[in-house]
Amino acid sequence: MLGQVITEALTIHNVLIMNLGIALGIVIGAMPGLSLTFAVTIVLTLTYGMDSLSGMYLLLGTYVGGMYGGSITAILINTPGTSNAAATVFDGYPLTQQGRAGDALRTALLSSTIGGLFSAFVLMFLAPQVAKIVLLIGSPEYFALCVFGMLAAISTAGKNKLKGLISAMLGLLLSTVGLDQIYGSQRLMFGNYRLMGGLKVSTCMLGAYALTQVLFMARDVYSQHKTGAAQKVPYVKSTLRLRDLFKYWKTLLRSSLIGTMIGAIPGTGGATSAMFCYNEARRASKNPEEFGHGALEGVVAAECGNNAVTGATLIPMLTLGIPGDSLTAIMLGALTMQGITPGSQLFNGESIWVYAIMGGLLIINLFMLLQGLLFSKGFAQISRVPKAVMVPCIIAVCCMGGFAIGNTTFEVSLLIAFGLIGYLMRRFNFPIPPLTIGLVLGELFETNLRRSLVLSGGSASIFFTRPVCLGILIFAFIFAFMNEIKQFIAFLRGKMGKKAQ
Amino acid sequence: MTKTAYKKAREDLLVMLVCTLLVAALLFYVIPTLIKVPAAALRDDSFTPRTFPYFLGIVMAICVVIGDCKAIIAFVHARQEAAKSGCLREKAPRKTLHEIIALVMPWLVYILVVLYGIGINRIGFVIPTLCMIPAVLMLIGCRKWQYYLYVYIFAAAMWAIFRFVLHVQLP
Repeated sequence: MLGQVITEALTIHNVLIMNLGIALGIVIGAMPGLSLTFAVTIVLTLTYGMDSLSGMYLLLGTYVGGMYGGSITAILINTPGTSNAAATVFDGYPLTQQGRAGDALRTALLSSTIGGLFSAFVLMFLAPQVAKIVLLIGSPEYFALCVFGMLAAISTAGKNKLKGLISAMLGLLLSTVGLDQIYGSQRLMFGNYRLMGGLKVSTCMLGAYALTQVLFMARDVYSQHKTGAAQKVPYVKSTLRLRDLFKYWKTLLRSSLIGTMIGAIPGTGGATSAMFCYNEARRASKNPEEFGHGALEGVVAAECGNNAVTGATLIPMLTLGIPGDSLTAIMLGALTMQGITPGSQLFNGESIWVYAIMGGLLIINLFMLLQGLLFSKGFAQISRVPKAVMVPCIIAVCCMGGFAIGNTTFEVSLLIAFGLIGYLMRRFNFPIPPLTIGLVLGELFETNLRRSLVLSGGSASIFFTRPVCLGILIFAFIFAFMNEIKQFIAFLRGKMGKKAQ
Repeated sequence: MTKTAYKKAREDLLVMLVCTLLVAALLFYVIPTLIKVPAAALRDDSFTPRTFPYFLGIVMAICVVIGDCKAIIAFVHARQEAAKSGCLREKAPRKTLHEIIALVMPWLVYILVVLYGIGINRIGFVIPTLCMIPAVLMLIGCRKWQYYLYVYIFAAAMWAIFRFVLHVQLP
């Protein structure tokens, strides 16, 4: 099988696609203000003429490259290209100020590669085991896992959990558009036959993320026109050797482990992981006072931590079909469009597709290293691309991509409508990720809810009498509402304390 | 408590009230009108095509009611605080034309995107794209002619990629 996987993954076409994805990811990731989700959504438009494997390689390349790309501007101009690189700024920029920008960039590149490789290995070994367990669970447990996925998405809303919940419900509701699976009756179609097959998730995401981004960017460009000046990029060549980096092998290992664990949990992501790894590295360091003043170890921890989530986030997506965050939701949407249904059946040995994906992720990380070593100076100049140029470019690409999704101009209209929905949601602080995850999970959610209720004769007690299902539900609620529970306990303690006094 | 916090609380309240209206419309008009339940489903099944949307609608209704209560409390609190500090009587400084245009800029660009979409629907990609690019660039205040050229080159390249590499027959 290994030989088959290598022949499948390492064709000239796939190698080119992987490298294109990595380059696009680094370029978009390095542009301040453009998120990783945006990068993957835009690149999604290019996958429709491709076979599923090449399409996934392009998306994975963008994902991995974008995760690293965000660190370039974080290090050079004190502005994280993506939120995942927020922790890299703490030590990356002070290193640039000390004239060691090249060292910081190379450290970020090498640490990202090590974290990414570690995560890809974990994915290869863990995913098949998880898939075996998935075969043993029934519809109520699957439903509970969907609830977990939804609650995890809602938990990313921070203080806006109520708005997150509304957003998630809206996503689930939009997933019901089309013909009912059992009775074939029309649902929320407004008499439009083009909606019979439901809303295309990719179109909705393109509108909600990319077009919305353009609207905000246009405002920023207009506002900054009179004050904005192009920043110079202080690139300096690296003198760092590999052995200088391996002095921090404990930090690399710790951050890889933490990043992988965090990545496997739905609702987390690179930003959380990087921050967590950075804090852990500072706590465990012999010289914690150096952190924040240009410690290479800080860059190692943050970058290794954020790239270590890349493989792990694919575990729930490939084995359960449940996206952990908006990025994997986009990938899942792309897979669904290609006719591939993620789940344990992918691991039954009949097809090498899933193994080619996992092997591909390893290769992508190695190509990222190569591109970073060869073109780091060029990538460093990306932050100088004027935003004004990007606005009409993104509008044109969105509309072309929207058309490509369904080969009809109706998709372009849908994309524009979702652009407005996304804009209003962002403007009024409704988080978008729960909406998109709801859209992706909707069908699975309803199908398993329906099956479970049929099994139980219409009684909801089935979700509370099966121990595994109940366990997942309890864990999901605790996980999502941890802060609220803590606040409530503190409030109770405060009251008890007052009474005792 | 500043006037900004008061304005924020007022905006939140308005948003939640609009959400309440939308959820009410969903529960009492959209779902009953746009989801027909076949007789067989009514007779034999407890899970009809309306069950799941209704379930979601009810959860949303609970959320917006809680949201309304929270927003009303926050608004009343913010108003009291603002009245106490006297900032309600203060006149806000007049916004410059540049600031006003910046505020409505997303809407102006969105209108252009809608027109672009209509153009694509009626006459295909090429002519609307040729018109959209200078319109957007001019609107956002871009004066450098080189930028116009870069965007045209990029758009042409993307068109070629979709048309000849991805084999998408753009209209």
